[in-house]
Amino acid sequence: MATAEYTSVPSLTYRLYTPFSKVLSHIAQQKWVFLLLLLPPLLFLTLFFVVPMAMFLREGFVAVDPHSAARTLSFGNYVRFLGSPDYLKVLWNTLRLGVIVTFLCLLLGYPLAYAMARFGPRWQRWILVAVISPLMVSVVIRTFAWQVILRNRGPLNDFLIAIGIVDSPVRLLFTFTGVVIGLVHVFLPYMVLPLASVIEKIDPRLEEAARSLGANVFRRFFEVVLPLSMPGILAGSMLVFTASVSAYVVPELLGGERVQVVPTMVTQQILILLDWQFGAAIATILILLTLLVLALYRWLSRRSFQPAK
Amino acid sequence: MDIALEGIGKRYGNDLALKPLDLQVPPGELLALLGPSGCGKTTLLRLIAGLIEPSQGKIEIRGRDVTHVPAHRRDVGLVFQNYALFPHMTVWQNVAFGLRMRGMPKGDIRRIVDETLEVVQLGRLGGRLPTQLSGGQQQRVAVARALVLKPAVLLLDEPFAALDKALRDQMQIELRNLQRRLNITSIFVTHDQDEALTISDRIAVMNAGRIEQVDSARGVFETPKTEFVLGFIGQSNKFEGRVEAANAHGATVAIRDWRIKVVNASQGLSVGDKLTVAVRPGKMSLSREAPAADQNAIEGTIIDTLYLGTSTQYYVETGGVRTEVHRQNTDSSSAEQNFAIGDRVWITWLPQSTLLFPR
Repeated sequence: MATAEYTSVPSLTYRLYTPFSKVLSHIAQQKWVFLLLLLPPLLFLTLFFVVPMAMFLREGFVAVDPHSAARTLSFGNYVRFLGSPDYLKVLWNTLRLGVIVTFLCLLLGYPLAYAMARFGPRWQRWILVAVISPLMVSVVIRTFAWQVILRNRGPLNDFLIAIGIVDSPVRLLFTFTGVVIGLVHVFLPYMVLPLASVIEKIDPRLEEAARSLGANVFRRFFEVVLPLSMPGILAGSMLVFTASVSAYVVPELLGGERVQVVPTMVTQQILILLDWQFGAAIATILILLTLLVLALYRWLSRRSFQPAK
Repeated sequence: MDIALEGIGKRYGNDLALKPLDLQVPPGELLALLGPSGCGKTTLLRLIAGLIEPSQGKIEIRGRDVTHVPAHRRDVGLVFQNYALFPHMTVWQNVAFGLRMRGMPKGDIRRIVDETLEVVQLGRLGGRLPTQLSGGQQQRVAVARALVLKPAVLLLDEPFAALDKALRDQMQIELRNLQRRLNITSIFVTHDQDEALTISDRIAVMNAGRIEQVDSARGVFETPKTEFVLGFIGQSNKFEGRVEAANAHGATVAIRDWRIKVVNASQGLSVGDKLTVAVRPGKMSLSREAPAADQNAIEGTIIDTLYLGTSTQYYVETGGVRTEVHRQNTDSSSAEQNFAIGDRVWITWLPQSTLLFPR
C-alpha cells in the first residue's frame, strides 16, 4: 500500500508536468524567444551604460570656449595630456601600480590557489573564506582599517620595530607601497579563484607521472603544473590588472595627495576643477591603454597554447 | 625473479588497504592484478611503482631491495589510467620527458625517442598533441613514454579502461605482442576478467586487500581456490551439499536427494561437513534419459532457453534452484537434442568438474 502511494506521487507530478514542459521546450526552441529574453538586459545596458558612456567619452573630443561656452570638436585635451610630463608620469605610475599589484597577487595567490585545489575540501573552505573576506566588507571601511594599520604608530610599524627589522617607523601610509598593500589585499580573490579552478582541473596523475619519470619538485612545477595553469594565470592577471588601474577608493584613501593615479586624477578634474572635457579625455586614454594590455594578454595566452615544436 | 614482494602491506590509519602478502613475478611474465574496485589492486601496483610507501614488508626488483627507493630510481616504467599524458607537450616531447629529466645529451635523446616511437608505430605522429590522437594512439604514447627509460618492469594501471570495446580487444593483443617481443616483465591492473584471461600469463585474483589466488587463466577458471574466485571469474551454479562418505580417492556429497561424486579436492573432508558445490554452466550437459552411473546427474524442468548463436543457454528448475547450462551449437547437435521449455531433463557432469568450497 505504502509503496503504491509512494510511486503514484511522482507519476502524477510527471503527468501534470509533461504537457507543460513540452509547451515550454517548444517555445524555448524558437529563436525569437531568446531574443525576447535578451531584450530587457540589453535595453538596460544600453540605456544606463552604453549611452552615458558614449556621452561621457564624447566630451573628451570637445573644446569649450570659456567666453561664449561654444562647443567645438577638438583634440586639444589629448594634446594637453600627452604633452605634459606630469600627466604622463601619473599614467606611468598607474600602469606600474597595475603591474606590481598583479605580480604580487600572482606570487601570493598561486600557493593559496594550489592549496585550495589540492589539499581537500576542508582547506578549500577556509582558504576561500580568508581570500574572499575583503569582498565582504565595504571598501571604504576596509580601507580606513588599512589606514590605522599602516600609519606610523600603527600595529604594523610597532611589529616591525618589535622584531627588530627597523629602528624607526617606516612611512607606509600615503605612499605608493601603502597603495600596493591595500590593492593586493582587495584583489587577491580575483587572482586566486580563477587560478584555483584551473589548477583543480589539472590531473594530479600528471604530477605523479612526472615524478615517476624523474622530475624533481621544481621541474614538476615549472614543466608541468605552471604551463598548464597559464589559462588561470592569464585570467587572474587580466582581472587584477584592470581592477587595479581603475581603482579609486584605495589610492585616494591610502595614497592621499602624494600618490596620484589616473582614476583620482579624473575625479579631480571633474569634481573639483569641473573640467569634464579633460577628465573624459584622460579616462579615454586609460580605457584604450587597458584594452591594449588586454589584447596583449590575449595574444600571449593564444601563443602559450601552441605546441612548442 | 624480476619482482619479489615479501609481506608487503599498506595501512591507512586503522584501515588495512592491503593485507601483508607475498608475490613473485618471473622475468618476461605478464601478470594481471584482477579484482573488484576497492580490492587493493591499484594500491599494490602503486606500492611496486614507488608512488606510495608500504607500511610493512619488502619489495625487490631484480634482486635489488627498492622498498625505500623513490619511484624514478626503481627501474620501473609506469602507464597510468587514462594515460596522464602531458597535454601541453607533443607526443615526441612526452616521450622525451624522462630522458630529459636524466640530463641525457640532446643527440642521444633524439635517437632514443625516435627509436621508441618506431617500436610503438607512432613514428609519424611525433609532432601531434595528445588531444589530437585517438585513444589507442594515446595508449601507445603512454607505453612509449614508460619504455623509453628501458625499465626492468612495466606497470600498467587499467590500461584499457579508457578505450571502447572494439579498440580494447585490438589494443590488448597489440600490448601482449609488444610485451612478448620486448620480453619485458609486466604487471597490469584490471577489473575486467575477460581482459585478464585473454592476455596474461598468470592472474592474481584480489579481494578485500588480499590475493585469493595466483594462477594461469586455466587454473583460476578450472580450479578456483576460493568461492570469491569462483564467483568473480566466469559463471557457476551453486548448490548446498553435505558430505555423506569420504576416502582418499573421492567423496560422495548429498545435494537434496541427489548423490554427487567428487574425485579431486576430497582431502580433509569428513562425513557431515557442509559444503558449497559448484559447477560451471559450460561443464554441464543435458540429456533426456538417466545418465550412466559414472556421471553426476540431477533432474529438472527447462524453464527458459536463450539462443546466442554459437551457444544456447538453458535455465533448468531443479528442486527450487535455478541451474544454468551452456551448450555449444555444433553441427552434431541435431534437432532432437534441442530442448524446449517444459521438457524434463537430466543435467549431467563429470565428477572431476565438481568444485567444492567449505561453508
